[in-house]
Amino acid sequence: MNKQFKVMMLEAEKKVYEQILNNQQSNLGHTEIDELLDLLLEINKQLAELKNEPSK
Amino acid sequence: MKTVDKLRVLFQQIDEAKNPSEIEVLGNKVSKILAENAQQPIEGIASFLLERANILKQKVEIVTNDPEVKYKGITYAFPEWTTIVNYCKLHSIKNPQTVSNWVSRGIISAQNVVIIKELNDLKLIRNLNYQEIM
Repeated sequence: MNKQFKVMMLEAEKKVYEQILNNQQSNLGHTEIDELLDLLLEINKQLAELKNEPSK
Repeated sequence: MKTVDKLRVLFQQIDEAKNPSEIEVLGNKVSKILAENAQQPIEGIASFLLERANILKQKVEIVTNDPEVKYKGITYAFPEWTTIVNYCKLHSIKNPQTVSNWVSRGIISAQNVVIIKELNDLKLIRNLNYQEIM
């Protein structure tokens, strides 16, 4: 499994959380939503950096 | 089975998925379960989702930091294989020495561990639940 494919897998998993946040906020408190958003922002940033790396 | 336990099973399947489409299908199942329970509070859901999102963050960090290791013509790479330290992070094992001891005492099955002498005895572990690697 090369790095590009791994990034695709991680992107797919990240989308699961985005879907949850978009549709299921009624089950989460504001603090938890903020924490999840912070985590997803960090994950997005790291994935963007990984995608910009030249393939090895 | 509690809703959060059903979600736990689905997220375990996400961990073992072979391609992004499988993850998408499982993600839809997660959303369906949450939608079915939208009218009532789901016990433990917030902490569970945060725990899982932290695991995803760790996976991203591992892909960022973990080099692929080629040894005797075979590529050992995350997520199938990982280092002891990352294995402990992913499987909530507090002390990496515990896993190191499992390796030295032969508790982990030989097919689930690789020791690379040329890399200062670097140990790679197959990234499965610890009951499955013994």
